[in-house]
Amino acid sequence: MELIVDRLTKHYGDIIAADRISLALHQGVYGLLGANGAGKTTLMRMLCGVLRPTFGEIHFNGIDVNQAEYRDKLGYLPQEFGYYPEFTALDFMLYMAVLKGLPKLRAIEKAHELLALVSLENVAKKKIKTFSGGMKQRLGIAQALLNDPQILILDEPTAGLDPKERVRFRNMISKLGETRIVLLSTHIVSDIENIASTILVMKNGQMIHQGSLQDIIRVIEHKVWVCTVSQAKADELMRAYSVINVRQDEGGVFLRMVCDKRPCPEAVETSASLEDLYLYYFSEEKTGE
Amino acid sequence: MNSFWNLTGYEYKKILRKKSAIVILVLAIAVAALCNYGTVIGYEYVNGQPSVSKMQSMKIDRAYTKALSGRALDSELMMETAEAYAKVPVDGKYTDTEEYQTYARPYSQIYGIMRVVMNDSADKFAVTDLQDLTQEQADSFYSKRNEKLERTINEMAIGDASKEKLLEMSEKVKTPYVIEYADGYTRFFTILYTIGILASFVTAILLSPMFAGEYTSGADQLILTSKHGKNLLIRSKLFVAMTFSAGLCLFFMLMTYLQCMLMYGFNGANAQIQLYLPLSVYPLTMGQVGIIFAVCFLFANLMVTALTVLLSAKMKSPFGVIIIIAALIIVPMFISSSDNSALLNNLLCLLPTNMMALWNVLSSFMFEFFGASVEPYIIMPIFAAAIVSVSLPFAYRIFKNHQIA
Repeated sequence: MELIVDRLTKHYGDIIAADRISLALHQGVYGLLGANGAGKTTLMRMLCGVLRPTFGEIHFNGIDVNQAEYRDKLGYLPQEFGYYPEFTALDFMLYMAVLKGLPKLRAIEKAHELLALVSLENVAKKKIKTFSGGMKQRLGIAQALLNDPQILILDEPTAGLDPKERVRFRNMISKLGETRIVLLSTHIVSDIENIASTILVMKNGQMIHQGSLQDIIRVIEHKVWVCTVSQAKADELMRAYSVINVRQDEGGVFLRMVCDKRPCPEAVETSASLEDLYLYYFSEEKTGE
Repeated sequence: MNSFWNLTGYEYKKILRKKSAIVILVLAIAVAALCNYGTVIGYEYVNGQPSVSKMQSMKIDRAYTKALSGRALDSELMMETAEAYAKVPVDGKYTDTEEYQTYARPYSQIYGIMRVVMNDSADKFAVTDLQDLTQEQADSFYSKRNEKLERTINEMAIGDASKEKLLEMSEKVKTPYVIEYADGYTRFFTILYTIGILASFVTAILLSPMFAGEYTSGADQLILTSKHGKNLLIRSKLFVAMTFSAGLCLFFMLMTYLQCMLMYGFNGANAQIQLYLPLSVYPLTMGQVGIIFAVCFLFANLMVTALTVLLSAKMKSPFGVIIIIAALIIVPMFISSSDNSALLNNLLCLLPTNMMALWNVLSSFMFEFFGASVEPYIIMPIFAAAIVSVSLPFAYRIFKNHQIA
């Protein structure tokens, strides 16, 4: 099982949304990390065949991204997906199952099974327009799994889920990754930290890092510092360094920072996390796409 | 194949499960019903006072025309009509008089036909002219018709081959005309234009989201990443659009036909079209015209449908589609054709709204190709079919290649 991405490039006029991205993905969970506008969604759309690259190729086990056979092996949950308000959850699942080429009986069986998996079985016959945001998101997750995909691409899948659901879903993805390629994009760093076997970091359309959590955070090893200082000192440090966390403590202001050298005499080095890395890379990125 | 029919079922569900779609369909059916029944609702007024109901009046006219059915519109019948009308005082509104109701009204259809033939551009054939009708005038009725037609045809900006063909066809028209009651058909021809416009609007509104709705809702991402989303589903959508439109048209046509026939009677299929259009050159019966008209009507609507789905695939919003299609339907109603240009007439005839008007379907402006002349009602469906067969593959390609950027 191999998903090959070869020099994938996407230009929008002068803007380069994806710049010569090359990857070889095998079974496992891949966490795609990057600030808004880094090119994550563009990459995912190209991997799903709904956005034509300016240059480059995508193949799964030798099957081109534009072939129906490729789509047959694909499950996709877009960041925002459309539904038919007048359809019930079951109708929607059955419709998606037909679109994905499932035979009728298998479609019914699979639709019920997945609705139960995402805790929507008791509302299967309710119209989607009555669903909350989280319920719609769960329905989106369920439809992505209908064809038992070998490539599962999830763009912000945990958005709108409550913490309990998020953890449950995270565990589910982790399990799914045992037998397929799962590419997951999220801003919730802890989700990736917990389940991704490989982390892909994108910035300005380029894949700047890829590797395991340990490999990735090696970049900021010995660069994460914590300290508790006065308000005036804290203000000074915040202006000078990438501050990851600020908290008012009894003894002053607690700061967690990423910087190449000890920022102040009070600072103590601490172990790095993925969130530290994220903020280290993207602290200067503007938010909002 | 099974998947195709399943997808087709879901596409129908997408259209018909919307409350707005049901409301639009119910309203359209109500309007269509009113178009027909509206003409027999209310009263006839004589001297400002209500006399009989319009329904009763229609029944009276029907009985009078039926009484004349089977008779040839010859000199004898024309003189008989003149004699009956001679008893009517013509000062004021003559149709309000007792004499008109008693003597002339049974011959009102005859006067209606005679008037069209005997009218001159400078001199209208008034009731007083009918009252003074001479035997000579009555005897020359058909030669006057032929002269008038010949003059009109020769003055038209059409080729010689067309003129020749029109005159040849005109010669085949059976004379003298044989009177027959055919109000069901004439009413059907009149109403079908309105019904056609209504059906086109309904089709445009209900089918505009066919592809554009997927773009606006964001469902396109799910569709286009699924196995059948870039092939079978698009075929199914196009199939649904065409069958839905054809079904809607057939329903409206059948409804209008049955309404007209049930109200006015099923008679008249074999009556010649000249009883409705006395100067028409086409040697056709009402039934034949009904079929020809229905075919043009159906193809005009299929053309609107194909353009709707093409625009729906191309545009990002169903509203834009509705606006363009509405303009395509409405604008031709305000463009008057010119007798000085056959080409302009021909082109205007090919607009969907004009295809649904009987005067265009039976227009004397033939389509000329390399010296041959073809009737508009033959070209209209062919042209519509060509537009459909070009538009649908384009719509298919556009949606298939749609990029989610």
